[in-house]
Amino acid sequence: MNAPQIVRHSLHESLVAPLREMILNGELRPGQKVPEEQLCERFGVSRTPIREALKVLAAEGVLQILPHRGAIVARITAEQVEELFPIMASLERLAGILACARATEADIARLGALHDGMMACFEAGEEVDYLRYNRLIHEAFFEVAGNATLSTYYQQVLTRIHSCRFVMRKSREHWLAAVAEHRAMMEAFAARDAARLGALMEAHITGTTAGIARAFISGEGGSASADAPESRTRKGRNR
Amino acid sequence: MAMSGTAIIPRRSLHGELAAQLRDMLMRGDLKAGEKISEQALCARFGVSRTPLREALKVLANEGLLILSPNRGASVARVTPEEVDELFPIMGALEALAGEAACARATDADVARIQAMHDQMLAYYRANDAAGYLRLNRQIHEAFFDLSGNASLVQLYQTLMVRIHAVRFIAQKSSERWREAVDDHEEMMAALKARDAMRLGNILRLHLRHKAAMVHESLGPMDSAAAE
Repeated sequence: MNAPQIVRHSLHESLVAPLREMILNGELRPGQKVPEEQLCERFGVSRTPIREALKVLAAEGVLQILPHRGAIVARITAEQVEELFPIMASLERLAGILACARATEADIARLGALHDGMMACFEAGEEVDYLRYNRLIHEAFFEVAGNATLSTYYQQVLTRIHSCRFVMRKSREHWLAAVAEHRAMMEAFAARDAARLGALMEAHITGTTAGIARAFISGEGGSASADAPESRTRKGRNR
Repeated sequence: MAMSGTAIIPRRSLHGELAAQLRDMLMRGDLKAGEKISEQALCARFGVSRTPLREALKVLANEGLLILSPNRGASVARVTPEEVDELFPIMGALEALAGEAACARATDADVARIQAMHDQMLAYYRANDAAGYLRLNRQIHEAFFDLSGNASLVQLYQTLMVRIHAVRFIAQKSSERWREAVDDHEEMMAALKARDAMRLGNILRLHLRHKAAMVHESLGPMDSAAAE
């Protein structure tokens, strides 16, 4: 009668995506304890499915589960930056190549509009909105690529590195380099030059983006203060 | 272990031994994609009870080779052509990254070790021993990932391997595809010895495209029949 068969995933599986998003949008920050009780209330579920979902994210390395102390959002180390950014670069390269082959004119126009929006934010020095557009552009390449497993891996790796990937108050040199690289990427995409776009995206992530992450991590000094701007990207979302 | 010249025979549990036998049956094509597993027939064939057999089936299900459905027992995993198109390019990207990192990090001893595996694999190829060939083939690919020194990459590879394994090492290949794979591996060794990371990465991506094409052929019943 009321289509009772719609929910195909188990309860804990359907909790993984919203929990991942809470980490991606900065509601849960590296080093922070995961408030199980609040999450139970928010999602209207008992502890068991929440804990199952936390285990899934722990298996990805997103969280650490400490005996008797609950789960803590993992901090990224300098070593993990060296491991994860090359992986991200490989995934982005493949996404760019696939996207070139599959993009419709509408896709190219949509990415172009996002790029223009991002550039306007750069010109105005609005870093929060710049980062929002930036993330949308990278996600759009994966959408156009049309490979569900590739998108899943992207989300998994992104959840681990986002706190040092979309970083506020980066150096002028890094920001200028990132913008120039994005301009070249859009040109290659518009020309559907798959090999060139793939190479540019790979170089963008292993070069400038990883450089920003290294600078962020070395300047962080273990304090959580540098994460604060990330939460401002979603104004009034949780507070 | 690697030091001694003699092969050490691994001590396996009964279900572990059964799992190995079943894997061989899958590889030889005695059990085909989508086919329902008859527990009774297998118990009779191997002279074992249901309990160890079911343990073995669980092991293979965990590797992605079998599907266990409640009340319906086990069947051989079926991979669709769409999944092949989805998964193999990702595997190609990960293998390329592993190979590039391995080029940069491999010691001369590492290169010699992989060369020895490669030579052994070619010996199996010349002897037309598919099972031996595939075992060494897998070890070589795993060695690239080990040498990459990137634990996150290894973890991602293993996750994907569970889904891809069902076809990657089991699909029946034509003699032309087998020759092509061997040629790819010769190219890989040359690139590794030259420590040419970019070349090795490119060969690995191409190698996985070849594998995808081989799997596509084996998924089409007409093609695989023609290849026998």
